[in-house]
Amino acid sequence: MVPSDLTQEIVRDDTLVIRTGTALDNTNAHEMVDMISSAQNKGFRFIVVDMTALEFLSSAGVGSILGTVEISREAGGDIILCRVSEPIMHVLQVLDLAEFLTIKPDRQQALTVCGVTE
Amino acid sequence: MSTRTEQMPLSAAARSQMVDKQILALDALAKMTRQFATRPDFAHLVEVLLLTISGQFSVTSAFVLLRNPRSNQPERSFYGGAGRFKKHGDLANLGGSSAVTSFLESGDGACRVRDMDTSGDLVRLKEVLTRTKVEVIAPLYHGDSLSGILGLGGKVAGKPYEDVELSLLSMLAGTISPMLASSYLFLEIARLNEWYLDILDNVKQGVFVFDDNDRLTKINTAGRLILKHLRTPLHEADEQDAPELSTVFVDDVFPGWAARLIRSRSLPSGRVTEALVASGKDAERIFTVNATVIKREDSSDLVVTLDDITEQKETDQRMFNLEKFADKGVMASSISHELNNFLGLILGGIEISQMNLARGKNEKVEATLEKLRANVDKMERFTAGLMDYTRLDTKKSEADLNTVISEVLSFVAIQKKFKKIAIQVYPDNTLPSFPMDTDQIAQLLLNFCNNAADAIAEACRSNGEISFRTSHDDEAVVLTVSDNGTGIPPEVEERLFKTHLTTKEGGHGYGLVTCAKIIRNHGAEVSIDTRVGHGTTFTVRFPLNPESPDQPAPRQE
Repeated sequence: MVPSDLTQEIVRDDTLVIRTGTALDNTNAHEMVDMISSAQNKGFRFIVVDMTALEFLSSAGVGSILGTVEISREAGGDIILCRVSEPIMHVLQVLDLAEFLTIKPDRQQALTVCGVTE
Repeated sequence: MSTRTEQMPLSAAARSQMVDKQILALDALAKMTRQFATRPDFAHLVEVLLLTISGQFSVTSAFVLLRNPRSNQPERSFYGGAGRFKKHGDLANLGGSSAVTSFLESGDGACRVRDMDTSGDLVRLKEVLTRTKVEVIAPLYHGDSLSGILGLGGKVAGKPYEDVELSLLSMLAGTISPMLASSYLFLEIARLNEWYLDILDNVKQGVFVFDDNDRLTKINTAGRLILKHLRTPLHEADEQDAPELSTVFVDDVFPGWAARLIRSRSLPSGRVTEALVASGKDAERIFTVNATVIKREDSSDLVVTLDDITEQKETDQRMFNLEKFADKGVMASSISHELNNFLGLILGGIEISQMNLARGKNEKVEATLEKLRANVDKMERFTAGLMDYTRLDTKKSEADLNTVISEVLSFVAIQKKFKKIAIQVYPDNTLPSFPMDTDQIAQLLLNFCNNAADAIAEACRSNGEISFRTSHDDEAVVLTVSDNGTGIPPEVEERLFKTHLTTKEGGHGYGLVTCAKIIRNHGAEVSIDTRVGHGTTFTVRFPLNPESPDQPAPRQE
């Protein structure tokens, strides 16, 4: 299996930042789910998904966030997307997700939602 | 069952968005198909499928429930879920239910749960789906091999499902069903393969499979261990390169094996079993080697199994030695027991004589001395018997076997033991005479008679029969002695002609040993044909011109 292009960084004991690679689709969506689920099980209420490098987001990629977001919200946290490019934003809008998901322009503002100041 | 609402005309913007969605859905499907071709992993496919559908329809939860109608009761079902539906017990339990079958049999496409018909079996299905907040379901068909349902929760924005979305869902379900079925087939094959490999790895024998070009295609754990213990040059890394048979069974360690194994391919039976020796760096091992050619449509595999019998052979040898020592021990103890009996009697006699001499009762002393003499005579006879056992002096002269037989039988037939037994003689009247010790041959015949009579008595037969038959060819005179007694069980047969073997109460077990000695003295060969419960036939071949009087005794090891 190819090494994952997803990377993670712990910024606080309940906050994790995941950086995506250039694509989030059915080849790595399940890895994304595994990463988020395992973080949730370890008590990370807030997960910031940094999409700086992301060029392609498939419905499976969207599903990886949709399928896990409820668990974070039930725990009083959230999954926050940041640095979302225009084409990716278009996909989220077509799927009626722009309002459902928490989306912030940059990492700083995303972390503010989590109550973290850097 | 599902009620299709009339499709409402969409606005231009909504129509354009719907087209975008369909493009996205098709794109996702295309990607999934491509990925499936390289990774037909069932669990993975179900997971990615659910993620794709969730993203596509903007739902936080989706599930797929599959069942395999091919398998017998209890029906095996699979369940995969995303979001809230993950590992939902209620849904998973639906797998084997008749409600799912009813839904699939209705032949409808995707439908809203709230619109579902509530007749018959579907009541329960609708109840469970409503309780678990499933909003739409779609059937998954694939012939009769795999089927199930795909279900989605509510949409994230709380919007209702459009009719076009239901059509899209039906289309998606129709496309992924065959993919799921094939993937499931891969899963079953993989499981089966794993199962067989597991069995193969747990057998004691080393198993090696070679292809048409005599290259190693499969080896089990025991096989690897054998190579490792013998320290052959084959390492695990080489295994991937499908090494040749001659590299696996290198001549240094497995002398001559490779040639023999390759040759076994051309045998008509396609199967050969033999015991071969391998000499590794540290030890020599003995294997039962079995080579079998398994023919397939376009190729034939050579399956070689190795069973290490070194320990077994060593144990056999130890047991054999033990038995030999036991023979000697038993013999020594029975001899000293007999001698002690005689010595005790003699000693007692001497003491009594001393007492009587002191009392001046000479006539009693005389009587005691008579008894003593009788005991010394018995002792002499006993030791003479021992001599018989250890060394039979052979004085041979040309004689006729038929004559010896009739002489012995005329003596035997009148004995009480043989009263109720029919003794038949089938002599070959053209029998040539040959050099023999007539006394020894008479003793041999007598022993055969006694053993046969005992076997008949043991079988409690009223129609006991012993037959003597003679015949000859250019080289030998053949004597066969048959009885319809108990027969000899295999474990006893193995030990016949060995010193202490006796199955008879009060027997000493030396009879057949004497027979063996006599047979050997005449350079003859004996064979035994016996069936437990039916009787025994001894066949003795006396050579007309014995080369050496001291050929090895039959079965005397």
